Amino acid sequence: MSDSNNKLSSIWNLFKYTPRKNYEFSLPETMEEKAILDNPYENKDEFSELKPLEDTNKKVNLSLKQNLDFIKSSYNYLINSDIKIREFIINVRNKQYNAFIIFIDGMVETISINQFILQTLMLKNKSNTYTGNIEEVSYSPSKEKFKLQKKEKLSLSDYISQALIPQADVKEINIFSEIIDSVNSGGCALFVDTIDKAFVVDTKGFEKRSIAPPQNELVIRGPQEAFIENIRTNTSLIRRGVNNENLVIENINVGTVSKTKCAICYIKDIANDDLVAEVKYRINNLSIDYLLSSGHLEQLISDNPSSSLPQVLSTERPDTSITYLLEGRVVVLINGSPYALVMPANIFDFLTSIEDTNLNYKFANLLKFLRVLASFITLFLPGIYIAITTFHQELLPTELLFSITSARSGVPFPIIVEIFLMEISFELIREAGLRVPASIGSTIGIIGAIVLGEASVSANLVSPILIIIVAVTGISSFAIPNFSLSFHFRITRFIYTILGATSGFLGISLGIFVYIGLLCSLKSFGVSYLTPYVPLTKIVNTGYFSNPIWKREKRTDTLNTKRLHKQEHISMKWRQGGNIDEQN
Amino acid sequence: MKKTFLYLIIAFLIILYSLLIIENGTSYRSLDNYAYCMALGFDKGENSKFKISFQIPINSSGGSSSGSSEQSTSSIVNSVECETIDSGINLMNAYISQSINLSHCKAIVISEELANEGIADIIYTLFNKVEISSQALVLISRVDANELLNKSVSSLETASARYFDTSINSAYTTGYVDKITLSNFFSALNDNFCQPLASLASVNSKNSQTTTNSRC
Amino acid sequence: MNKIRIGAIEAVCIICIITLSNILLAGPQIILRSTGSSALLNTFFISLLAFIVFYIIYLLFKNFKNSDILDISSFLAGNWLKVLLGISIILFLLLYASTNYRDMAENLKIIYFQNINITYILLLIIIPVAIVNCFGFNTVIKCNLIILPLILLTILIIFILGMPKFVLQNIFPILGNGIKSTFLTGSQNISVFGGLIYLFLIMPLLKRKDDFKKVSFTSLAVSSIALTLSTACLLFILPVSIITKESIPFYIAIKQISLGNFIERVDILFLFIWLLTIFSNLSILISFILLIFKKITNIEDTKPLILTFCSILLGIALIYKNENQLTLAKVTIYKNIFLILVLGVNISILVLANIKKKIKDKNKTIAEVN
Repeated sequence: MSDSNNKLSSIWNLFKYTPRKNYEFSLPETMEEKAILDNPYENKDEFSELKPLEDTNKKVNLSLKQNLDFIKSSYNYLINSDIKIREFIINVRNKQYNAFIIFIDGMVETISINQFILQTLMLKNKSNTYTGNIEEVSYSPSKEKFKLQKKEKLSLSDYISQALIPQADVKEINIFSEIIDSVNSGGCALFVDTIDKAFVVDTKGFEKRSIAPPQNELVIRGPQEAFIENIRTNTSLIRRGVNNENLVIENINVGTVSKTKCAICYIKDIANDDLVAEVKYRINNLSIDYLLSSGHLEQLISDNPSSSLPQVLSTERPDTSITYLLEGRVVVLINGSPYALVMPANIFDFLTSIEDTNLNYKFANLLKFLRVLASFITLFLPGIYIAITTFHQELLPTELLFSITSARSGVPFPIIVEIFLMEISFELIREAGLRVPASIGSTIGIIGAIVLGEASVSANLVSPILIIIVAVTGISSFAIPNFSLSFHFRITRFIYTILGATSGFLGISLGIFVYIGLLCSLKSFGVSYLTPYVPLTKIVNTGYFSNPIWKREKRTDTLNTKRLHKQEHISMKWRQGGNIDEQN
Repeated sequence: MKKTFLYLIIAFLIILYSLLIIENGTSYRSLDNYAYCMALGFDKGENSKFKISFQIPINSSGGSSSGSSEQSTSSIVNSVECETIDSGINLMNAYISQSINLSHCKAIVISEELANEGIADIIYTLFNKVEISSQALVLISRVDANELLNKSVSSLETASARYFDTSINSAYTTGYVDKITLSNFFSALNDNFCQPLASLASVNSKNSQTTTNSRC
Repeated sequence: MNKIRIGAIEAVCIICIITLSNILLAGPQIILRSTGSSALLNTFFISLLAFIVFYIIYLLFKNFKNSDILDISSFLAGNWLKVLLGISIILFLLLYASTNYRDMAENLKIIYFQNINITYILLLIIIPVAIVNCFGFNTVIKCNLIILPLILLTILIIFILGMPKFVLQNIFPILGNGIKSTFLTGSQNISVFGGLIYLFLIMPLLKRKDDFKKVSFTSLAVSSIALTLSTACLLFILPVSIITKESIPFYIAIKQISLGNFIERVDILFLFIWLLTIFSNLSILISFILLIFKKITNIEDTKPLILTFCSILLGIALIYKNENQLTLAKVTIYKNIFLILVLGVNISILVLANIKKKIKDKNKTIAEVN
């Protein structure tokens, strides 16, 4: 009885309407109107919680042996070949204590361990045999004079960390999980008997790639540096470009097993606080085991991951990231991935390249126009060709029509089958080209062009006009700067071809209307995807097409930055006779 | 369970829609199944009201070479006897393998004999057809329209599709002929402040053409 | 669910879309049938009348800053009037739009898809409308914002490209079918400005309430300019006697346009714009119907009802058996219902509500003084 009841209720549930819970975030209109963010997950039982692998709160013990046993069991010391533990005796204030250090071979620079930890602590020298008092010199700002005073003796742990280890980055930590995190990223932990803290010393020395020119985003006049996999080098590249103390780089660990370091970069005086809070909120609330690349993170924090349009910009150039940081956006770096994520992004960001700011605005506008043309050709050309030749032959000029019919006279397939044949073989060539070894890479291009193109025309499999159309479409898809967007266009192009083949221009307009609806409904971190044209904000000088350099006065209105103007009204003061007040 | 049901429905609809594509590609409407008539000729029929002639180009099959972009130089002229224009087109469709398409018709040639009886209903019928282009020339011919269409071969260019387009180009430089299109003729026919005009064409050894007024 | 707030330009686009959709389909034809060659005079006249009507509506709405016609009717006489008015507006919108919808489908069938059943064409038009409405009201408004400038541009291009074919003598006789048909009965042609309906409903959706004046007069200006241009285009290209007899005169007028020897048929390029117009028109319509329904019945989520109203629209569009019934409905029946409902009923409700508010305020001040 209950079984049949369950079945009935399950059938009933097929037709019942349950509203979808939508998570919506929008940047507020002004700084006063703060949007209240609803908690999207009201019922926590809907997903299972991932527990971390180890006990997160175990603290360092006073006994060295217990600490040693715990570390050895945590790291599986007996079977791990690259974990090194060195036990030794240290001298502090003429007394000897047992101690050990733990580090991972290959991740550390052994010279600094030898010189700055082992040598200074093991061997007796004047610093670690001094048992006298401390006399401290200080300056008091209220009385405006120097004073010399005797201080009590420091505790043992303070004395070791502040006076005996001449290393730049030393921390005293007493929670095992944090100590293990630091050792995993290349640090060295020092445990001393009778002290319930460990000293974690930064001794990173692993091999990493050197900074190389970018491989996928090439420009002619810009800098030729690209991000590498190591997060510290990437942040240093960004720091050097921004050159301002207000640049904040916060660290978050994502993933319960891999604990990948992610750095969230923003400029405190410019970026909107709500935007930064939203980015941090999303990255902090991910329950995943591991995170390995920026593409992985991009899909996890996008507003609409089911849409094939990219909503977060990924770039491998530091100058792009710096430009966007100074405009008020947030950049996220992930350790192990040479791509940075910039958010929020709108569709026009995917159609611009950093070259546009380096060049004269006229050249930049020409290039931008070409890119828009390329995107239209990529999307619509095969669909329009098949719609015209099937339904609307009267649009073609008569001579073109006769040349198409005479070219198609020997071909056995209908037009739609020809198109699919050529498109699929083009995609196969493209995919094969990615995996071909570099030595025969160029021959594949020649084979693809000659064999598939020429020979199939001679064999009467396809008409020559179709080859031109497919080739032009393919070339235009390479003209789009961003890889994700051109991928999206490749998929959508098939849909338009099918629509054009079945219902002509009616089908294509149907597709265009639904596509416009899709684009308008997308939001990326609270900013509409078609900003600044829809909704109509002040486009003055911040639209898609570049303005002359003297007119780029304001930052984008929709980002609601704290600092709206980036140039004065007259930025080239030398034209007006220079600054009258030359003391500034 | 609900999601899989939904996906099944969507997959079924997609398959159904895709079947339409393949069916549509081989349908009668595709490019290969049309014969694009380049000129229409109207004569007085012997046993019926009209004798309609269609000038249809023959495409040279350039499949053996690497795709030819040359125009066909030859065309055929077929005629049928009929009472109305639509029945004539139907008869013609029955004769030839491809169906007639009037969207690239460049000239409408009416013989003088037929024109003397009035051509208003021919013009109205043609103008009401959706597919006919309103830039088609209206010519009245001294000889039979059939003969005029047969002899319309240009000696200066190879593409017969452009013959009627370029033959009337002298209208821009001389006063002997005027370029009267179907839309001009039609609007002149209906306006009550002017009379319609058409060009008079004929065949002789030198292929000359003259204009004169003509009653409609 | 976020509160809907639309800016001034988006509101202008909403109000203009119905007028422009009428224009591209059959608006000038309605004017020309009744007035003959004095169509331009009639256009100026009804624009003037519409200006007066818009001004009256603006004045009447001054006292009610945050409510639309439904709230005002509930203020006037309670809930039953609100429900009655809401249902009648919904019915009228459905019927009015179904003529445009069926007309567009018939045109497509005549021109391009001769052998296809009308039901499939109707389905192909309503499906993207339903899909885009599922994305939300804000999306529909943004789509409209993108499409409307394209329509205006198209009308301008048609006018400019058609200029070589203009026969200016078509304007004679200047008074057409007579003074009575131009000015007296011709004033009924104000029903071409279908955007009046949305003007009553748009007030609570605006971001800044002071925009109402700007919105109403801008939309009137845009609509009347577009109407004038297209009427002029139609009048000058084709003879008047033909326009009254043909079924799609605007299409035939565009067919006369050609760009040199290269492109002979420009009308196919305008097919995109016509289709986008009808899609946009219908999606705005369905969203407003859902808004009104939500106001009447107080349900929380109107998304499941999209399919319902789309099916109703499809069903009504299939009622007409042929083109003649459609033309009869469009030219005679709905024109009169529009005048009665929109101009008569709504304005009288506004006037009565204003009177009631004045009386209430007077009583309040008397009570305060006492």
